[in-house]
Amino acid sequence: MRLAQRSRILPRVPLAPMGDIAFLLIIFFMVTSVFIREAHLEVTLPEAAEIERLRDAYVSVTMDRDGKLWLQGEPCGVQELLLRLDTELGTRADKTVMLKIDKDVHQASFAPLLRILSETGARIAWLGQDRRY
Amino acid sequence: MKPRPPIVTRAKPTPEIDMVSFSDIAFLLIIFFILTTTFVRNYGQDLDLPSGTRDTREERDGVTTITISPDELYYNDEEEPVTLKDLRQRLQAQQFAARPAAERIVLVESAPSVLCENYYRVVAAVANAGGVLAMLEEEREGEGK
Repeated sequence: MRLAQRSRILPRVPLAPMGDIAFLLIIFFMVTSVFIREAHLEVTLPEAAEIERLRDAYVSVTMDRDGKLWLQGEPCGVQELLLRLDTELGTRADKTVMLKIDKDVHQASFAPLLRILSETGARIAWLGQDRRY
Repeated sequence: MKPRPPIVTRAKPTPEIDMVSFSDIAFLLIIFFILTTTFVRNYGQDLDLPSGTRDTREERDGVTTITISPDELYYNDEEEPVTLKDLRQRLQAQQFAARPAAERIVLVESAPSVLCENYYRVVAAVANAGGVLAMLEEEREGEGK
């Protein structure tokens, strides 16, 4: 007796939701990523033994090797710094300024910057490198 | 009259878009982002810089003072220089954390030619000991009180 052959059902895995999940992940990474504003600046941070992990701060002030001042990654003069910092910090709850100064800058160049920062009343997170590593 | 042949309805082919390659591209993008992303962690010292200026010529008694020259460190106007290690120990011995804010002030005087790295090490030692950094500056001409 011949047995009737049943048509074989091919197993199919629905892959459409996988693409949805993958694109959702991409959108999540793109929305939550923060791009470094000072990526174009070359600053070698000073080293010290007493280094702690610091919280992220929105406002950043950088002084490069040539003593040039940068606020939020854009060039800024010493005279206009106080005004621009007031604007940047004005509406923020976190009044922390992330400070980066190149290790080879002389005190005569960065002392006015520290004075201005103290006048803003902001909390200063002065970035450095851990000497032990 | 001849009967009409029954109309045979063909099964309509449902259009299908192949989504397999779609998810492949998406996962390739994720892998690219994961590999090229660098996570930045900030390390340094939180500074407590008092705002405002004060004439300290008559108020230096009893206040810890550190003088930074390009090559040496001096503690409390002593004649002999100290090493950074000594300075750390002396600052720790002051136990600033147990004092009221007004008594935590450490005056830091520096020569203009001192490099940021040397200055930073002193600042980090002061902050780590719980001191409040006050920069000592000479009064410039025309900046009277």
